[in-house]
Amino acid sequence: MMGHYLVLSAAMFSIGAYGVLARRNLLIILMSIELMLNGVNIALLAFARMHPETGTRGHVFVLMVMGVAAAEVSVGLALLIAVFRNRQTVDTGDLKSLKG
Amino acid sequence: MSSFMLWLIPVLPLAGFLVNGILRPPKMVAALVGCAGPIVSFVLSLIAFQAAPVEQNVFGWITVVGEKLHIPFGLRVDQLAAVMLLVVTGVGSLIHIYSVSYMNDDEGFARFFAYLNLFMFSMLVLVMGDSVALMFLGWEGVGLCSYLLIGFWYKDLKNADAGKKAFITNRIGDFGFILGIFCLWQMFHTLDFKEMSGHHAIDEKWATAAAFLLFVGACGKSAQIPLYVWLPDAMAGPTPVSALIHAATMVTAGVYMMARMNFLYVAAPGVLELVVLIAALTAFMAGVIAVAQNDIKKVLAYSTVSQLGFMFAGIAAADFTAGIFHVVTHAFFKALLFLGAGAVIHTLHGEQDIRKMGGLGRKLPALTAVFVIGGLALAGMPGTSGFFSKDAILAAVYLKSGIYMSFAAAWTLLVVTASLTAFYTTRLVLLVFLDREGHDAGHEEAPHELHKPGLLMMGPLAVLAVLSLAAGVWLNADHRFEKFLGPVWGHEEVHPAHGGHGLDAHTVNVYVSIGAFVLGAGLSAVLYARSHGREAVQRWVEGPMKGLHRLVSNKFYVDEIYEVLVIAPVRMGATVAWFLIDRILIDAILVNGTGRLVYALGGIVRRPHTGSINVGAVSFVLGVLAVLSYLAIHFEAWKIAFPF
Repeated sequence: MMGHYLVLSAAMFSIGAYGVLARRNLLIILMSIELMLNGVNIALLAFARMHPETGTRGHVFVLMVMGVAAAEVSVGLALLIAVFRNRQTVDTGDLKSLKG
Repeated sequence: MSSFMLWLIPVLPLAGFLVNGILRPPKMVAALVGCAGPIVSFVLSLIAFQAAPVEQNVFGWITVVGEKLHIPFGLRVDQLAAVMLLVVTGVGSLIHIYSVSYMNDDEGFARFFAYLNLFMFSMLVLVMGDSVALMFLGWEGVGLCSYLLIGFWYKDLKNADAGKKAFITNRIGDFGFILGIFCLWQMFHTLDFKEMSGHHAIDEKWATAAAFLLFVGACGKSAQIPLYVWLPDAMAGPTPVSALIHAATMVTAGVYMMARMNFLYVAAPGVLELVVLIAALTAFMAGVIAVAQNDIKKVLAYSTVSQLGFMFAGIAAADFTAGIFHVVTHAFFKALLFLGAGAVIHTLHGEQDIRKMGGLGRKLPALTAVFVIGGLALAGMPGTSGFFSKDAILAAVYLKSGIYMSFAAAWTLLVVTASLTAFYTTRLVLLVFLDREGHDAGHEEAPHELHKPGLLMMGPLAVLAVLSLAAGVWLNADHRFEKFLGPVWGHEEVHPAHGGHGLDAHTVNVYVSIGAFVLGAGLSAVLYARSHGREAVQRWVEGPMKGLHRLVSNKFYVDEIYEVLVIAPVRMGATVAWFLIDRILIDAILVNGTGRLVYALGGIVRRPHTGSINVGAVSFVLGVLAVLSYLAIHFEAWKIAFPF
């Protein structure tokens, strides 16, 4: 039973990680990050249920992650809009001004 | 006087310096503030003189715990310091008052008084300091003021150069002084004069080293061979400065210091022989040069160098009383002569060439009278103060000449110099003041009126004239001066040169001194009092003595020799050091080399920075994986570090 949750979690995390690494559209990368965070959340909840002696610690952690994720995505989207206004693109292949 | 007032003596002029230096008040206020400090200090000095010896620890100054080095800022006025104190504040006050009138038209009036007051402060610290360290503080302070005041009219490059010359030459001497202080510390493990003199076992090698090095310092400050060259150039400063710093007080600091360290010099007889030779040679050489100078201040400057040689000779003969006696009388008559020369220059609107002067005697009888008194004291006319002090020195050196060849040679030179002194002083007075047929007419037809000195100038001159005349008799009578200073040298009894079996030496020297004076002054009078005498001199100078005259009037080309022997090599060394160290080592290797190195390294490490977000993300994930695998491998350790 436990294994299913963990497989789902691992799958979501991996899909998200793949999206972050492979896609070049900033918007998709942000969405992929959300996917990774939620994969982690599922794993946390599964472990919390598995070890009841930890009390609500895991649940609180998940709420924490969701709060941070909400903040992160708002900042991320704001940056995205700002980048688009300046560059007329959100393609990471074109954003190379940090090249040394 | 309770000793807590001692600190006021140096601090009052310091306050004057701060007010005049920072606020630059209008002339009336500046003069009042500038003169008040020294005058009140003089009054306090009189009280301190009565109370001597007194001392006071003002505050803890330098403390190094590990080295047991503890130097308080302590002031001490013993009999020796009291004498110097009166000379410095007394003559200083007179010169301040004189300056009010002399500098009246100068735009740097407040600045002048500020520097003068700072000088007074430094000199008083030098005199009153109870340790060599404190004396050195004053020593450097007076050096600084000397530099500032020589270059007072700094817009003329020549004056600024003269200031630099004085400062740099003194720096060479000060180097010796500092090394000497180190030697003293090594010997005594204290720098306090009283504690040092209380030491009984003095190691002769260290004593010789310290005595020699301190004498090097004295050579710089008190213008002895080979470091005397700055003093004649120092005449570029305003004349009151020449009187105060470069005749009466600062230049005698070397003599004062050696008298202070009397216990050390008594323990180093070898150094004293060197001192007496250098002193006599300096006195003689400067006396010879003074004969051929035509600038009124230059004559007086070389005569100062020469008289300083006399003082050192007194010290070298271990008759410190005689040396200090000459310091005191010289302060009176040389300040008088310089101030008188200042009045002459002032009167003639800046003319300093004595060949163009003459006939001032009829026009300025009062000034002439005081100047002649100063001249007679310098020349050593019997009865004047200069006679007594010079005679005491000659007697002291004579007394030692039976034992040491060096003293015998020095005595001979000093007697000749005494005669030379009378010669050039008489020449100076005659050329400046005597009517000259057909010569001084130029001045009578001069378009501008003579700028006659007022009461502010004549008052101090009159006081100094009285002192120049009477101080010698009064101080010498009943061995007053010797008895007063006796406790400082640690012996109460009268020096043998002036009593007991030394009476002979004294009598001999009185006759020799009188003879030297009569010979020098007489010869000079014959040559310079009348026109055919002067014409004869002129013929000799242009004829048979041409070479000699050129050599002497060019000061034996010492400056030129130093230029080649000292300055040129130093400059060469500086150029080489500039090129090798500055241009190559620092600029090329250290500064630009560092820049180039960083640039090259940057060229290598910038390669991985592609700027691509994906590459960054991949490396980030790889990094996380690496950390996680590390933690997985060391799982047990991890659990201990972060217990859940």
